[in-house]
Amino acid sequence: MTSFIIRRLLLIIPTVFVAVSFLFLIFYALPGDPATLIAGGADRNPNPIQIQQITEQYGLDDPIYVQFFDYWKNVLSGDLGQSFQQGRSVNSILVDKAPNSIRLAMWALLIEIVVGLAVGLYSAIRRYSVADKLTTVGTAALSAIPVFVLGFILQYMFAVYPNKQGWPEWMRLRTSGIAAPRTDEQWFLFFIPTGPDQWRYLVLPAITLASVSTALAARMMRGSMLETLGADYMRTAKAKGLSERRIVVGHGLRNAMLPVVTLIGLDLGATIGSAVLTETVFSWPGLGSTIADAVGNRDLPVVLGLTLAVVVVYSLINLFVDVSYAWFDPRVRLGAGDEP
Amino acid sequence: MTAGRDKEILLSVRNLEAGFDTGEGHVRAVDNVSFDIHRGEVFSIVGESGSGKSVTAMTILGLLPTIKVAGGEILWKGRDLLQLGDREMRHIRGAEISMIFQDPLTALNPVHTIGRQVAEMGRIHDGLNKKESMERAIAMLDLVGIPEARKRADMHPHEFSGGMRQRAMIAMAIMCSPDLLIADEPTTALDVTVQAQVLEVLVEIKDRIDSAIMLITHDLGVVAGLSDNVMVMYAGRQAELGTSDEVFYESSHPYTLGLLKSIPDLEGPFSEPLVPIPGSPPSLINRPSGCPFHPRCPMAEVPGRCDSEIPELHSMGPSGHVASCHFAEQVRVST
Amino acid sequence: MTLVPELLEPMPEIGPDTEVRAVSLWGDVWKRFLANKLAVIGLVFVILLILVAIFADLIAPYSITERDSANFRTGPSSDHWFGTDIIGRDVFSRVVYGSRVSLKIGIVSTLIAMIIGVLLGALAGFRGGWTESGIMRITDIFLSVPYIVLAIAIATVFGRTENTVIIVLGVTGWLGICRIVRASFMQLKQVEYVEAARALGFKGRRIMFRHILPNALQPIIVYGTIAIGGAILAEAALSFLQVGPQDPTPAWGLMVSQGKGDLANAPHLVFFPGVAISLTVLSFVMIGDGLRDALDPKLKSR
Repeated sequence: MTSFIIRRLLLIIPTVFVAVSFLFLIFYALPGDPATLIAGGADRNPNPIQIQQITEQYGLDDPIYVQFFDYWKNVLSGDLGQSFQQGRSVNSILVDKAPNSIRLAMWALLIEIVVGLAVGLYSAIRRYSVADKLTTVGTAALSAIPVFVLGFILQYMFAVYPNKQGWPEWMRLRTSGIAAPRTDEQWFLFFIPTGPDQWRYLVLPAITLASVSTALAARMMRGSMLETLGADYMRTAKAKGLSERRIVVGHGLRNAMLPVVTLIGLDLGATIGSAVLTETVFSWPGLGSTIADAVGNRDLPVVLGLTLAVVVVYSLINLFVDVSYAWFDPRVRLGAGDEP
Repeated sequence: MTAGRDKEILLSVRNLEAGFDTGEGHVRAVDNVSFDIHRGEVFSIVGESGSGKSVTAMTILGLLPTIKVAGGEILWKGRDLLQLGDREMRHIRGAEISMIFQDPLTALNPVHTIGRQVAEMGRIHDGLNKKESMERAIAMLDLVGIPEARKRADMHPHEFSGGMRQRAMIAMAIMCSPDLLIADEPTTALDVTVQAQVLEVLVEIKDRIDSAIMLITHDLGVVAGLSDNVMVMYAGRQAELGTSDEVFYESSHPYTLGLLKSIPDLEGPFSEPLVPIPGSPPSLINRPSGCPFHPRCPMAEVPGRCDSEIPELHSMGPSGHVASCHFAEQVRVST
Repeated sequence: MTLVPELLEPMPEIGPDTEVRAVSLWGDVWKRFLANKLAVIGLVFVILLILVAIFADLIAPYSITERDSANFRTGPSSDHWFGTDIIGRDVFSRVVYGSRVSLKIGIVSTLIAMIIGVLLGALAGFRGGWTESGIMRITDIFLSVPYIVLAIAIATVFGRTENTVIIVLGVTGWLGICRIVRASFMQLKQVEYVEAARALGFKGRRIMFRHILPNALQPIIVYGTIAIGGAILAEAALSFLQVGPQDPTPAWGLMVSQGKGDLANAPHLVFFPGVAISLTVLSFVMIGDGLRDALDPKLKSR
């Protein structure tokens, strides 16, 4: 087990290296001059001497391999560079925005697990019922709607329309941003909002972000549970005289959860994409919207730095999921080789 | 072989008819089956796949939700199980009538330890607490011959060998001292050497807790030497029912004869060819007319009674030996 | 590709007892497909959409750049069925022309992704050893980079055109099918008639393509169809983030982002393109589901 973990941890290094370097090279091919951007943008006709200074300061005229080398040298000492656009360190941006994304993601995960698993479980137990058919069709429909469209629909239904019609304050949800500037002090246990106002900002983005994953989880759970229900050991459990609840929950559930656990890990990659979209739609100040902006602004250090962080976190979470899978399923022996 | 009939009757199945609907038609899996099981008796049901033997057993415990019982009664200690609701059946399953299944690897929950699965019985039926039930579970595991029972109780099914798994299932089934233990092809998935061991355990246990065993199998070799009474099934109907001696030495149904003849005789001359029963089991949706066995029967009168009249159960004597063949007497005499 | 749930469901299985499908068996498959109401609805919709795309010139009452100076941001009316956008262009016409964009990008990029994925998967599954490890490592690396960042980056660098998006989606979307094909090939490698072919001295490549591939086709077809839906979804996302085709190309996602500022007063700008995307994706997914059930009716146990 430990050798497995160590091997996986080591694997993260080349993965990060390749991924980030690849992006680095791509951006190097960019037209447009970052120095001009830093100086305020081409349309402001910045002072050429200033541009020259900036270029030297950031080493922007060095040959690519020098820039490349310098960049990684800095990374290894913990410095992710300076944002071209915002004039502050990437590290500070990371620290600023990451918590918001994490909060949103935690809520989405919560919704996904609670709602998704419950719905999947229920429709498997009550197969062929109306609820089951609704689930199947509903999940398919839900996942076909683009995340950003769903976001706007929810916004309209719960925030814009009530606003227009002049509904009372408490009924309206908020469309964008996070409640107050001093957000850090207003979260309980890091991610639970403390004021009712904050809830109203959180609800819609969380549901939007959770939507696709929830549909996926519900489907997966249903399929897995159906398979489990037909298993021999379930029949044995019935022959033992157990009640239906005990059979389903005590014997079936843990077996049915196995593929779902893997799914939740796999799903993370897709969630990151959804997060970028959701944050953009709701103007949620997280990493997703920051990356999207940075790419548009050719803010190379921000893009690279945030990507690096995301890749590392993603790999760690995958590792965590794989390890916890072994806890769930005693038959699994880690590192037994690739499964198809 | 004692007939075991002097003790009380525990289970009495009368004219059971059960079937289920498939996309292609209605399958009559159990067709007018009747038999009794006494306390302490070993009752074997023999037949090919599709003969209805497993379905009969599972219908007794109500384990097949898709099965529709069309008629008959299943009397357990006087009560008709078919009239009982699921709540009441739950008290019977595992506590009064237990069942073990063919493939212990899939029949046991892979994510729970053996100990926990066995102990579960004690907790639900006898209200034992965690510690007490685990102690009893370990005692049971020991009883069925699993070495180092205490250590093994913490292991998972996939860590056991096939024979040990089956023993664990037996331990689980006898936790609450049931009066009847149904064993559905308990040895089919096991190696030959292990088969004998498991059967031995079954018999030992039966004597220990004075329960009856309903042994379901397609293997005649397993039946002989173990059973008190035997019922041969074919196409959902009873072909023959009697004591072990009666069925083996006074076979009164051509199918029984056919089964016996197709067993290789280790002591006979090797040059004698095996005599298989020609043909294959009938479709249960489109049954042959008259006697279901007639297409494969060497002494069938066709056209005649055999393809037009369904044979009744002919009594072969006062002991309760019956066979469903128009020519039962002739068959008996010929053995 | 965007992770559509159907992509994770079991694909038709191939194993030792899969026979090579004779052409006449396709008739059976077709019949089963037709019995699935949802799948047929999906198919009808897609066919309609394709027709709309082809005959857009005839169907759309206005061009995509024509401005109606009297009507900005107006809702649906008899002149403008879907209303007008902020500079007065007819939304209905733009949605109609937008079908070309989505279909083209969706289908072509999926084709590219499938070709890459099938080739790599076949190689990995069939050859095993270093080839397989190497390919799987690459897959892992691709998987760990946030797809969106990669897509945005490449699209930003190489210009905002339809072709860029096609290439980006094609180059990032082969992972799923690669896995599946690899698994199929690994299984099929051991099937008897392959061993027989080997014994007869057939070369690897011949075995791969003439004997194994026809059988591995089933999951490929199902996956490919559903993947088109996923690709359209991904294209919509990229267009929304303004990394896809530029104005005045009426990419549906782009239209949504253009309308987002006016949600309160002009929801139709978001609604109509949004519905178009959703229905299109849903249809492809339904077809894929229907194909899956038709090709392997045993899977009905879902």
